Amino acid sequence: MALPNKSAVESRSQRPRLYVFSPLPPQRNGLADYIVEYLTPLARDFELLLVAENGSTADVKAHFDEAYRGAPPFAVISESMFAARQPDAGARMLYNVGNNGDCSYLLDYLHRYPGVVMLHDVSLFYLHQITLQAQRANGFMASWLEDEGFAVPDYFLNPDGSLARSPGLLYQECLMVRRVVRSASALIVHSRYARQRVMGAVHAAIPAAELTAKVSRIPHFVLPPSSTAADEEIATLARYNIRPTDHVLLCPGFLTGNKMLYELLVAYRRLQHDIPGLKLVYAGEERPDEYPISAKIAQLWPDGSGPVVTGYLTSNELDILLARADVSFVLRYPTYGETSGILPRAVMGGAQVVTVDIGSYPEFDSPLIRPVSVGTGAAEALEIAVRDLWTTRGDRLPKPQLRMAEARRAAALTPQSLYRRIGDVIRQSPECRA
Amino acid sequence: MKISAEVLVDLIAADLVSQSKIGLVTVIHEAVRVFGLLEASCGVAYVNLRTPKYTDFRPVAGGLPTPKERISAITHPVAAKSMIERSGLVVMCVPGDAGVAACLPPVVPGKQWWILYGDRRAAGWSRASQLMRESDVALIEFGTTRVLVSADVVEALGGSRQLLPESALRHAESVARAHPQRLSIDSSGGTPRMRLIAEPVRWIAAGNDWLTHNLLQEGRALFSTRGLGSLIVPWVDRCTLLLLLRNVRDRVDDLVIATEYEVLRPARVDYTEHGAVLAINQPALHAWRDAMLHLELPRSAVPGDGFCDIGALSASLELAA
Repeated sequence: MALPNKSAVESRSQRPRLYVFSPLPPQRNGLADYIVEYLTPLARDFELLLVAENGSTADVKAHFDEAYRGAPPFAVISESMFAARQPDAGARMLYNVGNNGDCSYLLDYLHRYPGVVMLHDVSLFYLHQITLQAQRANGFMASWLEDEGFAVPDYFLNPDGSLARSPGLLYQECLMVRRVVRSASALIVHSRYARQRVMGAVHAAIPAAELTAKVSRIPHFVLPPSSTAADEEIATLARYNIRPTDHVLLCPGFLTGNKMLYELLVAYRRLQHDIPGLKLVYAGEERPDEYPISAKIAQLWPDGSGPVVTGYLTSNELDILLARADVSFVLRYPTYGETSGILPRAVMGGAQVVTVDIGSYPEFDSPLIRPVSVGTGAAEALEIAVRDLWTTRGDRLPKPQLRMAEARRAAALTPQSLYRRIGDVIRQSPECRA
Repeated sequence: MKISAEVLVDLIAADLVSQSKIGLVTVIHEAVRVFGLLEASCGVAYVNLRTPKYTDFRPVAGGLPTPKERISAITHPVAAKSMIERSGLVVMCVPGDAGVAACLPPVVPGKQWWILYGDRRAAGWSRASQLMRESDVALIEFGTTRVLVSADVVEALGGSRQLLPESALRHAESVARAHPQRLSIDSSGGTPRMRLIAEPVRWIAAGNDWLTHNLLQEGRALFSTRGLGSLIVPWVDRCTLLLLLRNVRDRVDDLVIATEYEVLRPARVDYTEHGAVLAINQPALHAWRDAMLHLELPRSAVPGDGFCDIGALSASLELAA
């Protein structure tokens, strides 16, 4: 199979070449959903090549062929093809990085071929930890932690430098960011919180002026909810046994361990008999290794009358549930500095949204948001919030009006309006010197 | 003769070091190269005029492998200069780009023997020839190739005709006699072919710290745990490679082999009790690019509890038209 000849491509287009490394659809990953929103404008400004992880190239190609009806405005190449191209001078790199295992393959390239890093989490400890496990190179951990200026007591380390046990604290210390920031030619973060944490984590390693110039804050986009057919809406709500009279509490997104699933469960149990028609829906794919929510529900409601866990939802299904919810919960504790795309999405649904008062979460500005304090009283705080919102439900504008107000507010946060700044950061980043 | 100037120089240099006590040999190249014949004959260090993105290795008798002496003249100019000045023989591919040639360290012409080769139109000639003593130079040109050597080299080889392509077979036979376990010449098909058998660890390259770590620990030519392997091939010419892939857990007929402009499939795969034997028809590679093939195993073939590796490797090349 012949690849496009470099000189032929260059003569056809004067656009600089951009290689993008990211989790890509059909992989179920928020980062894949995120980058998809920017592919079309990126392809307009750059000769765009998506580098898919080994084993997924064919699936990614098939996905985009279908999505773009056989003519995507970019190419999907495998890792070996990227390695063989030996990126030409003038090419640029873009890494879409989060603190999850799907980003492991990015670490093979990020330091060798410096580029723009879109950082969705300011702690990359978990990513590095599982990368080393997958690569059977756990012995690197101690030296990497030392490089971060973080001393782990010997008690936690094996003689070869691997972690004997992971103190929970490590996940919250914004670790493994310094190496990434040092290698990156430019960095994009979404929140002021993330920016401050990144600057704080690496300030000793990089001169302040250089660091300030390197880090740009560009907010996470907000998408309007997808339009759904009435029959799809009816079918989706029926599938989860949601009736028109129900007062729906919704916990959207992947059901990971730090989403305060248990605190919400406790609050719901206390409220269950006080609010008529109260229904709690965990709207996302369960991660039983992190928190076995279904097992907990079965323990607390052995008769099967407990909250519903939907499993993985399509984008439309999720939007239907967000629009139906009376109260949505976007909770994180601990937070690893991540920025959640689900927070603005929940607000766009027009429901009241309860979130935490830590990390980047308080930065999202909307009258629909109600922050709660985390800590030992979190379950009680959630209970109080739901009671208050129930009591004051008659004082609020109708949902369609709330949705319209949020849509107006979000106009400046669409991918189209944010792209110009992202494009500028990439264009102004140094070329990759072959 | 249809072999490239680079293979010819590899043959000449390997023959030279087999006959003379020269000491350390340094190869200066813009891109990543393994001089397969020279490495079969003596210790070789590399100075690269672009910073290599990969680490490669040399076996150590009775021990674990170690990273090859490969120095970037850009990031480590002092070490590169020192390496060249300590060498008995320096082989250099003259860069086509004057900017790249400017990265050559300022070596004081000394006692080392030089073999410079390249396209006669290459922009780097004026900078490169400053490295040799003017009174001590022999110039040979054929086709578009120019070879500039120290007079001592001509003398040791027995005349400047030994630098012409017609002498390739003679040099190959001489190297094969000196290193029969590494190089053999087969003339049975009419056209002589030389077959180089190398320790696989010499040809494998690691692009990240953890593969380097595992490779040094295991002493084998490993693929990554995601099924990726990079080979630095011994010749840029069109040739045939034979690889024994061990510990693969599924058929590898769909293995992807990427070169700069092409994605190849193995010409043949035989499944044996030792692993999968791959025949690869390597196309001619670009003279100024890294001489590498990048292999990507199907994920189903990648072991979850160990590494796939290359257990044996050979390359064969026709020596005559």
